[in-house]
Amino acid sequence: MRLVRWTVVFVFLIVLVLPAVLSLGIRYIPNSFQPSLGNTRQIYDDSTAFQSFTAEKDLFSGLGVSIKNPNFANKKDIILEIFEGDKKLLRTVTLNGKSIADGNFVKFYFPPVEGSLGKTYTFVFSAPTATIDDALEVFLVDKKLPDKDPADVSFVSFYRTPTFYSLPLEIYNQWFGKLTSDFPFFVSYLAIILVLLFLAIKPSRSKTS
Amino acid sequence: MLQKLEIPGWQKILVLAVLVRLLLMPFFYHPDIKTYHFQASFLNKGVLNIYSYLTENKKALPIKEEFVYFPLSYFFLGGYQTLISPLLGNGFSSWLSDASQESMDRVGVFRYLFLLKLPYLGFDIATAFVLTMFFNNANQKRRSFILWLFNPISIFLIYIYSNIDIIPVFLTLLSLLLIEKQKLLLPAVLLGIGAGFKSYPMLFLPFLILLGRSVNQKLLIAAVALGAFSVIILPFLTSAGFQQGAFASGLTTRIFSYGISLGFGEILAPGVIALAILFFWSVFENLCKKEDMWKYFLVIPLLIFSLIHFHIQWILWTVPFFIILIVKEERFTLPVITLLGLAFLIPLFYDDKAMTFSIFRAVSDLYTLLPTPFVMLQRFYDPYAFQGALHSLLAGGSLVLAFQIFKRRQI
Repeated sequence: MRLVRWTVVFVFLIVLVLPAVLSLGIRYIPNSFQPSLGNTRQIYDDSTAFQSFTAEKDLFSGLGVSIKNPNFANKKDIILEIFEGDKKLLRTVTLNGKSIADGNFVKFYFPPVEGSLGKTYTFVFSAPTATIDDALEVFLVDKKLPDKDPADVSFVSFYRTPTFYSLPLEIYNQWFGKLTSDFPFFVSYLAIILVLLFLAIKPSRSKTS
Repeated sequence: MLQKLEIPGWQKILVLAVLVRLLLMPFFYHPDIKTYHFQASFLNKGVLNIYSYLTENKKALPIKEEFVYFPLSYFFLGGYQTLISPLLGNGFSSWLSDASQESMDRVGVFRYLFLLKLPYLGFDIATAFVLTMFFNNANQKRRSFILWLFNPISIFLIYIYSNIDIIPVFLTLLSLLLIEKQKLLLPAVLLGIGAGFKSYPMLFLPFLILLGRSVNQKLLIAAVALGAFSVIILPFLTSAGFQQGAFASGLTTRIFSYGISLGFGEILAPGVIALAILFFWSVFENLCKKEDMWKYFLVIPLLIFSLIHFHIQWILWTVPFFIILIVKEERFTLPVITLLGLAFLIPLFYDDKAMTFSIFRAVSDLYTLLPTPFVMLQRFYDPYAFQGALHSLLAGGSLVLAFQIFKRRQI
């Protein structure tokens, strides 16, 4: 019966506790999924890729884009600059093309920008030491997407969680919300679980002769 | 049958077993379940030859994978979907064909996962009862019942990685039970039907044939098994999609395509070598007896996935027979746990997000952001070398275990 007890406890932990534990390893939260990829824009010399957007959360901490670098041809620096509005330089991140594989989704992380919720930021990608022959290419959005300009960069913005417990709380909240949104299933499922729990816990009747 | 179960408190054990399974079912997701159910949904639209249909319509379909299982999987899954369609609701079809990243955010996902895994629960529980029939001793019956119902390996493989393997596993176990009850033709039929879901039960056929007392009986066993299998696959044999999807993928490719190169395009396949050694050794030493067939049902799949690159769900093929082993001979418990643990660990280090943290995708898509063990390991060691090391340990341990099992004739 030890195996029974251990397995039951183990499964309860996996289902109810492990999601919270794992969420502690998620430090940067994306605002959404990356829009589908379309054409690319080359970045080299004074040819840049830039775009403005409105931050959807506080503690804006990173930007992710897909970058083309066939055969690791580019081994030069790629620079990301973040401006508040389009004037005040807030953050600069430099990566090198030698660590960017072709088509990879590359994340540029930087110290969190406090009070970012609702503010407009402009990001600029540049590679001033690259030439047209070894230019990196940033993917733009798929032109078939209905609410996007085909000249827009296909990007994801990342945000830090304010406290270590805020993300697990948010995840459990959303989990419960998603479960209860399918109300008939939720009620049926809960009823079955409760009946099984009752049957499992209730003392067995001893046989009388 | 239930009266003969002789397991005190089996009802409560069963209730707890079902409870842990129901807790897992709605909340864990592996993309295979969506892929093969998307493919099986075409049965409802009148498609009988899924292999040709997927090949001809590949460009128009949102999910472009081939159907890699044998026909009974398609008809079983498609038939089941049709049966429960009122419970699945209106959003199910569009969820199945939604290949976007947002698909797991839909309301109803937990319902779909729960209902789609429900038939596996039936075969899973049935397997527990069939296992008890291998023993006469009440204590052994209870032990086998509990070991099957509460071993984490089979629970995770069936309800998290949610593949269809539990069905052929159940059929092979039933086949073995009938062999022990002195039948030969009915087990052959069951192996053929099991292969109609996934091909691996056919690996047992050469050894089942050895049980035939005469050449005629051996031929009859072969004809019955191959006949049952042929009836299932014959309508699809000429379909290029079937040849490519079912025959040329997964187990069939991996057994024969990788190994020691002899030059001139020829390869020595270690899995085949191991099976050949087992077969010819059984012939020369006259090892094949009905009461020992469970050893073959254990060792054959164990050698296969120990010696080739395997899918995690293949481990399930061995679990009931491992249980028979450790119930009969408790001293094998620790080696079995070690080998099963190793076997389970290896695929977790594959370069495949769906194997680890992404199984929580139904709870939240944020878990896909977590780096896989492959990526984490890559920072300081070659993950392929690590996989190879673990797999080598598994292969060595499995070979020794196989030898020990056959050496001890009294087990």
